[in-house]
Amino acid sequence: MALPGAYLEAFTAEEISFQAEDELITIIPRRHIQEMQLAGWKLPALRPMRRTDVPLWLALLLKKQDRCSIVFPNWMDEAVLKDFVEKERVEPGFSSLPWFWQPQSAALLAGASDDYTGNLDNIRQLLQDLREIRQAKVRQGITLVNESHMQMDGLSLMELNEVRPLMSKTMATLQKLHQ
Amino acid sequence: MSRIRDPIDSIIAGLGKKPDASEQAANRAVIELKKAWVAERMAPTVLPYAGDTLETVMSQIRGLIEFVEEKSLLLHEGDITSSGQDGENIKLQLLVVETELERAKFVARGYLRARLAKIDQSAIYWSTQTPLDTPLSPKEQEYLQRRLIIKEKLYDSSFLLSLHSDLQNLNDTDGAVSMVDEPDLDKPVAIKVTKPGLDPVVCGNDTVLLEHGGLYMLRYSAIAGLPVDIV
Repeated sequence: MALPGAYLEAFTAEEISFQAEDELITIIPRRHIQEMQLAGWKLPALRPMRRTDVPLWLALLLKKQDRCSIVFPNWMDEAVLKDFVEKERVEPGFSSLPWFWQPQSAALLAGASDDYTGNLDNIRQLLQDLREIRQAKVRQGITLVNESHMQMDGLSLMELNEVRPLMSKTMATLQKLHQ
Repeated sequence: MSRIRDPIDSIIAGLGKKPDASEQAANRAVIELKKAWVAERMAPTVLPYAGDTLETVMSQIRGLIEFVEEKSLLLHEGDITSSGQDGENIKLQLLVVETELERAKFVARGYLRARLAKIDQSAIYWSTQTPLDTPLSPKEQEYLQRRLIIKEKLYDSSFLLSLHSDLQNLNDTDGAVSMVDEPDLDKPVAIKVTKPGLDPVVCGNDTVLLEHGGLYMLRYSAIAGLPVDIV
């Protein structure tokens, strides 16, 4: 088979991480790195201490080789995450976290935690809180599913993907009942 | 005068600007093909073939393979010792380029496989499409024809020929249940609205307003062909 059936309903977590790895992130190179021709783009020569935006996969790879340190994105600041958690608690909708906030934060914390300037335990906790509050909202939202459409602004790809098979089947069944 | 100056001004303005590398990285063919792969995986039917994008990606892949072969040879021939400064540089370059290469290959393979899976699923349906209507590439059509011939032969020799001739068809659409498996265009898909000013779409008895930046789940038939991202 070209593709196992399960792959046609949703993405795997690995496939979502793969997609997230093309998001750009700022690095501070530690050593000089020559210009490189890659698929359809040129990585400019990297100079020490000069901030450059590169795709996440490249940042993590250079980090592993000890060639750069990674600048964590703004939204992963402890203060900003706290705001997000507060808002998430109070407001009925989903706060506008990045489309790939889960795989992105997971990859950064796994591969570059020593570049984080704040308290790691605290942001791990805040990320976990965010996930739980949002998950509870998703579960509540499922009761609102109807046969025609559903608006889910602010939901991230990982979260969408988790409920996708259930929602798509429910909607399809409701559609049939309506006809 | 001013009519001439405007384009010149814009050219001069463009001269000082170096094409931003990160912008390049975000707008290249591999990223475009990745979008097509994502859409293809989630859409219930085979989407129009992104042949040009795939061709560009394939030629980029070939370029990267050449680079890897060339540089590995340098290391092997011992012109450059792998422990020296040059060797270190080449090793790092190889590491980066090989990773990029594998990523591009993964996207290309994923895209084609998602299409093949759907072609397999409704093979007879796709074979009835006229050349003008079909979203299949010439190679995919060739694959489809051969696949059907092989399958028919197998069915014939294993059981069909021993049945009554009325029961031998594989594309019987008369009875209560059609034998031709068609893609379910009403299957719900998730979409992201990336352009402003789209007209509302009709979805069953409802009319849905597609807000710019919104994330929706609705039946594929309502948004087929619209400039929205299937995610």
